Amino acid sequence: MIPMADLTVALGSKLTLQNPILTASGTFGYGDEVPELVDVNRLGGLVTKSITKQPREGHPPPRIAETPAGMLNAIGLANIGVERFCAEKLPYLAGLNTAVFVSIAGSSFDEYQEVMKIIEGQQPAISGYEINVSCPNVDEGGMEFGINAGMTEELTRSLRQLTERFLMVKLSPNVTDISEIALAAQTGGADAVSAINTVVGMGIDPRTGKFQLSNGIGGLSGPAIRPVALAAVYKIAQAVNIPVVGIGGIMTAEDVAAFIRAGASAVQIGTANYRDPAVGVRLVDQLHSFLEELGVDRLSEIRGSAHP
Amino acid sequence: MVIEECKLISNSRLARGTYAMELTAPGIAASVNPGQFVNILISEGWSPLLRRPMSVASRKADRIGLIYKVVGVGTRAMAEWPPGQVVNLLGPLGNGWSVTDDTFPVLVGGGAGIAPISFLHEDLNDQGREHYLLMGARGKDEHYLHHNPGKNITLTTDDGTVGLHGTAVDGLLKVLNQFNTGQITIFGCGPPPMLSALKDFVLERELPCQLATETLMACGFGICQGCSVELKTNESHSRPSYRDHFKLACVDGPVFRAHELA
Repeated sequence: MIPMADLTVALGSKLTLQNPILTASGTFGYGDEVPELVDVNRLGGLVTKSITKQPREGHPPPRIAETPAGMLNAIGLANIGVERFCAEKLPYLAGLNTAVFVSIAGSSFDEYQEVMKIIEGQQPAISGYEINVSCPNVDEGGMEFGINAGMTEELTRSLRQLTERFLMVKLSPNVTDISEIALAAQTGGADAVSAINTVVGMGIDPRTGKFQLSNGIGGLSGPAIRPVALAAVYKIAQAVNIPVVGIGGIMTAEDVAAFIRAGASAVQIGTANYRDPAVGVRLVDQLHSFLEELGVDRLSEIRGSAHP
Repeated sequence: MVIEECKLISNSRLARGTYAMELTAPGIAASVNPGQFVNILISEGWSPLLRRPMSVASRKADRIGLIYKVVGVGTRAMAEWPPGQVVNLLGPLGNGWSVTDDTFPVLVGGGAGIAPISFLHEDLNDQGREHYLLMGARGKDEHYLHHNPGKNITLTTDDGTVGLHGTAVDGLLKVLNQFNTGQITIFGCGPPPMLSALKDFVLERELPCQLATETLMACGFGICQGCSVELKTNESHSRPSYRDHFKLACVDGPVFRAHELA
């Protein structure tokens, strides 16, 4: 048998992933939608759809539009709300044999805190949380916090006091200096930062003049934003000493390797799930082959190799 | 639901602007029902990035058929695929039509909406179940069926070149007196103006009707939440809800009751 490369990832001292492939929030539901197509336990982990205190119906159609090598979305944080989440999804998630991060969004510090308190009250067997302070599509989606270093630090600190579990803050690229916000999350006590959320974008029908999305503004994702994401991860990795989780247009094992070389410890797969719901598991296999091709025994050997 | 590498058997022009393809898809053919769809990977690259949802138009043994109009980058690429090409399909997806034994089915299709109507038509024929089929198009060259009212098939054309002159809904009004309307169910699929006219028509007459909706869609299995369809809101539900006011075409539909749609 060919020895397989070691894909395990230490995210600081608190958490070790079996491999670096996570699914990104909002692109993989609650992980229980397509059990016949994906063995989620083979993933490094999954991040849930963002949960808010109350259920949210989301935006009217149209919510998506295709763009060159990408897509725009403005879903509007449609989700079942924390109460139903705890009753219907948490038991399944807690039973998984992989890392589970619950994504939390809110319109106020109080809302983030309340949602976290309710989930912590269940004492669930989950790895931790991803704090969404970067949804560009709803006024109350947290981006007002995520574009402000002081508020990011304050929110992170307030949530840090509520949980011992892994706390990851998801950053917006729609800022002047993303590493400044990453540092603020680190100072506030985050265990990791993930970057990037979608890039603010817009589509207009040239004939009718109508917005392609009902919300007007949306978030761009897919291979189109990959270079933007890679540069953000590189900059953040230079600025912080907590793990960085890379997100943005990752479609192949080569893309994963590029993000690891830029300094990411792990990655999240988003839009690619829409083409192939089993892509995450496939990337784990392809990453083994790719590292073997390079003669690399351990993924950690190449982490940050692009840095001087 | 499976992801299947399917071999293209045939791909040819059916009528003006309309193509039909047949694929070997044993996993999908084994369980697909009329009104369900598949999500087709168009490109191994990123142009286009997203799959294209397409209603299944027929099933024969381990094969499925698709009927599609060439309207954009995805369908233009599809029309170029040669027999033997391997196509990645995800399906079957969606809820499909719900046909009960106690009603007489009246099928109304038009434009790109002929695929799920064709499949239902064939399925009812296979069951030996009597029904009526109305198909609308702009002109004769867009039709591929024969106008045959004696066999319960009526074609309509906007320009009057074959069948009844007018829209499919105009045709429905003309043939409606043949039926005991207390016992019919209408099944409709077509372009937005046709669906909207059909919805108004059935609501005015309080006729039971199922409509297959078409939306932009990414994943096809409920994860991306992109394919929302607006339903009428119930005044008693003033609290925020999830998938109540906005359902998802991929998992809650694509077929909805006409009276539910906003």
